[in-house]
Amino acid sequence: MEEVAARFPFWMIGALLGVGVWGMLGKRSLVKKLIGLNIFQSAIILFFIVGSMHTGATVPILWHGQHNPHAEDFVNPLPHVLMLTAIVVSVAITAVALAFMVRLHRAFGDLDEERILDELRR
Amino acid sequence: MSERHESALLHFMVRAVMTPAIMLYGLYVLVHGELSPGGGFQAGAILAAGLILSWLTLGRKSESSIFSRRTLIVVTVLGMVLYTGTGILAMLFGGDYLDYGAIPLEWLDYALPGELTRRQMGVFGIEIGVALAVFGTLSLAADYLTAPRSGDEEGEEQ
Amino acid sequence: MRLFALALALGTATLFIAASVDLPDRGDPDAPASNYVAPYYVEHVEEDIGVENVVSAVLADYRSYDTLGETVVIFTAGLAVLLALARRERHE
Repeated sequence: MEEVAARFPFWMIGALLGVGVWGMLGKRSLVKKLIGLNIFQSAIILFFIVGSMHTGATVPILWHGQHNPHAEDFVNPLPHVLMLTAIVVSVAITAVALAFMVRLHRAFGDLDEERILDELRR
Repeated sequence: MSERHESALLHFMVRAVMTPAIMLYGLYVLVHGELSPGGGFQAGAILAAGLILSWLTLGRKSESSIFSRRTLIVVTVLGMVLYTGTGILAMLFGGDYLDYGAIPLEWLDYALPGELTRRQMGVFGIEIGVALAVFGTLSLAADYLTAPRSGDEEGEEQ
Repeated sequence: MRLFALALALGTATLFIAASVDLPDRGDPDAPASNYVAPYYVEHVEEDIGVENVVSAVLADYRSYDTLGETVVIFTAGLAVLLALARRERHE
């Protein structure tokens, strides 16, 4: 049981990565591709957050006036910082992708990848 | 946005209760970002959420919102300028870029001695800059992405 | 094509799970990720910066260049949305 609890997050993250790749490659709608990209990013973010975990540790915020804190009492703050950056970058990517989709929909009246490619080849 | 769907209760709840509460919470998250969970990005996202909620429910009318597109662009640029300006200010006082300890803020030395308060102030300054930049960018993106195709800017309705 | 995508998705998931066997357990305090620079941040943040939220301290002080780049990224994204969707106004 312990073994399963220690390993279970990685299996779920692997499943999420698979779902993200399937959404990006197997779907024809550009919006669904973007959703797949977001799922992939969420899986990576979860992976880092799982890696920051210590058993019996608390959030990386010192209580007021605490001196000489021990690193084992707090989860690793570094992955949280890096993933905060990653979340903001993913928001930026999503905004730009949606803006381009709005332009594509104005130009082609559709967001289907194959139909847009057909239109371009014509 | 057609006028007949606007109910007085919805109007009151969004404009007088929910948006102010959400934006006040965003300010709280920003100001307490050094002492509790929170910080610039989260505060900017919450502030933008409050603004976008009011736009989504009440429509985008220029006379009803102090946040026009021009204002939002100015807010975004102001955030960037605040961030880089804090770094350059540290350089002007002889430190490295973004080395807040070099900024002389002796008049703020009431709580902690020496460099600590100055560093806190530097962290606070760039958190405000980040919050403004994120708030402006998210609001601008939401505004442009949801703008009707034929409408003019500022949501002037035909 | 869809079969290829499905195989690629399953392959990604399988590859990750197979590689995760060598990762340290969840909650392992001896994991290499938690043992080089991270303890320094927690143990020295009080005397270095005096900010109690370690995440904020690392974000805004120890690694403020990262945050600068990130702010530039989101600023550029806003600019890109603006350029992609802004219409030519009033003088056609």
